[in-house]
Amino acid sequence: MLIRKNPQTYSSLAEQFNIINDYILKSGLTSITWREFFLKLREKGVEVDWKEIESCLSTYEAYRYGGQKNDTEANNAITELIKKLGGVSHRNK
Amino acid sequence: MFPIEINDGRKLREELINEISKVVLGRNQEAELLLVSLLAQGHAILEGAPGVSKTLLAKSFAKCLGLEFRRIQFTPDMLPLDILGGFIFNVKSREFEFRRGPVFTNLLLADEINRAPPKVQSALLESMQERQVTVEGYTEKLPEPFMVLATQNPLEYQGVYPLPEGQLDRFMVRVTLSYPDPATESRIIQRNLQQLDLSSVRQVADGETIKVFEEQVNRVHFSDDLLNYLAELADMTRKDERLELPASPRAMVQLAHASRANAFLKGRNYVIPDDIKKMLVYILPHRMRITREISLKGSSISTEAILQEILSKVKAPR
Repeated sequence: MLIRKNPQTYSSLAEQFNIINDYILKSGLTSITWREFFLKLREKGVEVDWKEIESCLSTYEAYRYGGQKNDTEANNAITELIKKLGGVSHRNK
Repeated sequence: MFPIEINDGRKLREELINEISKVVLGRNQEAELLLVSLLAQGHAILEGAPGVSKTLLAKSFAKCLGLEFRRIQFTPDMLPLDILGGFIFNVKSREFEFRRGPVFTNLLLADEINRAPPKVQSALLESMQERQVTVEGYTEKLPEPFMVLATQNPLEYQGVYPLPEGQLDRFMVRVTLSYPDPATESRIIQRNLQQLDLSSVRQVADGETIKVFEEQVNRVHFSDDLLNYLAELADMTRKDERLELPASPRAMVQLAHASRANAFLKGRNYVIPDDIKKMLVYILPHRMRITREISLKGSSISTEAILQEILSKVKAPR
């Protein structure tokens, strides 16, 4: 079941990236990497704070692929991007 | 002594490219690939028409990294001892002594490797794989770091012996040097109107530093998800009926090493899927072969194109 969630209540960066991942999967872009996806959005002219998003991506990659245990807190620039991608739909856990 | 911190892969890459571009124009990507191959302890095959700066690139690469450089021009009448060395009788001591061949160096440019007969080509095999030379039961380690940079003539040329698959599989990376674009070409001509001076290339590292960098590359984190991603890519090449020779396990191991080196040069201590995607097109195509049926039908499909298709089908770990 999908529910609406207040953007301010994201608990972590990983949760935010999972939401974007859901969007990517729904779009059928399964083979795309995070960097390729964000590049695509930039080329489409999606306006967000890309510098901040790139910094968040590096942090998330270090957590996701770098074996770093600590997930960091949610970020407003990513929240903004989630909004631009069409809302804040979120899987109910 | 050098302008690079010992853990700063990004700086090493920047410095190398800055220095090499003083004498070789428009070859930044190629220089970076050679550095990936060196740090991942692999060997590289350089392909391109005569006169596209293959030797100059190799020389300036060695100079910049403070590596001893030797070049062997391969010819049809060569013997293995011309590369490895051999036992020579010393009249004074009345004993046979091992005289080292040109392979005893840090960076060996094997120029036109496919002009030499297979016996000579295979003499390089042990050196490349084991990093040692064995002659008549006597074994000697090669200097470290050690890398073979081979150039190859296109197979359509006369008097060439194609490298067997087993030998090609030992080259980690294939670097193709295409002709420069007109803007770069005019800069090349302008620069060559003056004397090209390799001494303008500043040394930014040395063999010892490179060995430390190699150890750091070996510590770059490779997550389980990415290992599975590699395994799935390999499996897809083996299921593809257009490929007579798919990716070997050795090729996938080398892809993992090269991805680590690429991550290190980008300033990361972990690999991301983009490293694998970037390196795959330089590591796998030269080891793979399309079926004879497809080749005989005159199809223009390449192993590169098949790999791109495979990449677009396999789910990237996010």
